[in-house]
Amino acid sequence: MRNCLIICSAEVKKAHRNYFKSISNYFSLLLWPILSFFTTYYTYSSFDNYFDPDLANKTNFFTFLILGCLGHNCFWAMVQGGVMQIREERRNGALEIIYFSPANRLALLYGRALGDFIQNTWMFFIFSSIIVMLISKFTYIILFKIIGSFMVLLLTSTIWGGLINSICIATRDAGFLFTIGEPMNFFSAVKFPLKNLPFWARAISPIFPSTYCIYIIRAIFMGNSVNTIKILELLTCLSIIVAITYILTKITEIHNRKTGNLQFY
Amino acid sequence: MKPVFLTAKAVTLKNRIITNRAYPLSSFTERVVGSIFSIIFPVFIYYFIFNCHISESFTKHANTMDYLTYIVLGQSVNIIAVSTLMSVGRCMITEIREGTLDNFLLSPASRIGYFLGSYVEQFLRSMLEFSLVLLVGITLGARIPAEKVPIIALFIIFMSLVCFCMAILISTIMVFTKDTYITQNTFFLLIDFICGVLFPVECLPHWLQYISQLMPLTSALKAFRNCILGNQSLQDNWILLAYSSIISIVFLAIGYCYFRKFEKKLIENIYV
Repeated sequence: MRNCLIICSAEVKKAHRNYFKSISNYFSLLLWPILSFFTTYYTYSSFDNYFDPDLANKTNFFTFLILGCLGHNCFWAMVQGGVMQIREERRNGALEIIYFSPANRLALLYGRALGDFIQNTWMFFIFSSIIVMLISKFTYIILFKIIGSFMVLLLTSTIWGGLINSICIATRDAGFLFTIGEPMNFFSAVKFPLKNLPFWARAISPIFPSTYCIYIIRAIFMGNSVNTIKILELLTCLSIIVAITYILTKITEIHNRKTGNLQFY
Repeated sequence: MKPVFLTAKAVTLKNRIITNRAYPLSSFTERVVGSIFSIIFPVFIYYFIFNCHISESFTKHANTMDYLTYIVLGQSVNIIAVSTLMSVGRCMITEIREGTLDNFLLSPASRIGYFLGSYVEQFLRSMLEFSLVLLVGITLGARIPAEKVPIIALFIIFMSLVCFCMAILISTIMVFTKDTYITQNTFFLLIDFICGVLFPVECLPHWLQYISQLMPLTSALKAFRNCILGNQSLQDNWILLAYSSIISIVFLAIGYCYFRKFEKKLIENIYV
């Protein structure tokens, strides 16, 4: 356990040192979500009225969209961070050196995901501040809501990031993962309420843990009750993801020991 | 003229071989999936959330009540823009990354021929993507009259050239900053936001409308929609087309001049 914690903390430190001061963070975590948010906001301007009585006022609508963008961005950052970072490490040989070490593989994968998530933390606080300003009354309840949402995002994004990292290690052509951005955005109901998804789409949306995560943080901030079934579904989804990550990591390592090609790209 | 043609032909062939051998599917599927899902979001809210009720402000600004066709035309042009900017914009930085730039700069090959070759190679691919998005749009309810096909073909060539001019400037920015990730994604999001792809530019605040006019795609897209949706002729839109052409030439001139200027220090700067 202690070893796993050391590995996780090393990965978090590495991510912080490598990327925290990087200008790309300011674009990918701040400017792009803002542009994407306003594109969605103005897309709605082509229609009459707000679509949901709960979102009838502008403040609620803004909060609703911001929370969707925030949740999606955390999950999307895992995909971008995972693919780019592992591609780079594969090229410069660092990945092979890491795999020579006796470090616990799952701790490595989750440590990386956690490191990527922590890079998103400052963005989370900016978004939370905007929401607080929109609601315009700072109370202790809001503080608990922020902490609660942060914990939900931390858990789900890290587990999702672990799966993405394991796929990136399994294949050097992990660029196909960028294809899931738009489907994830749609099926997770980032830009509209989950209940409006048609039946066939609701059957696909449980594949993405972001669906539950966005649903829960919206419920926490917007004062709706959280459906217990949704929490159970989230926990089931996360357990399946952990199991897939574990199996994929084992298969990849056995394969790479035979073929010895972690380094080549 | 001959060196330009020879270089363009060689680059087209080279890029075609690279795409066929190394990335036969991934780049194509990524863009098509992205574009189809960009259509799905507005189409979805149109049908399932607002029950086909569009706002008066949309009708007033877009001069049409046909929301679906409006969106499909916007997204199909967007895919041409993304395809051209990705291929032409990134071509030079790819040479740097693959270590082949020195050879290219040492050769007497035409620089503009190089960019034209990259443009021609991706043109057919982008047409395939464009047709696919249009087909999906028509399946979802967009109305493209058959008699408009010749005018659509003319506009495709015009838009593609507009995007080529933008791509030259973007390529120079990428070479200068040695970055593709930030530059290309920021441009894609800006095009989505301010060029009127998903909603009329008039919905934006006034100061953003002024900025949107600095992008040649905004007026070109408006003229395209006027001709297809508004039953206007090319002559009715000559001001928009002329304006778009002038801005495109400015983009091309700035991009190309800065590239030639920066080229002299390029090799030293690669390793910095």
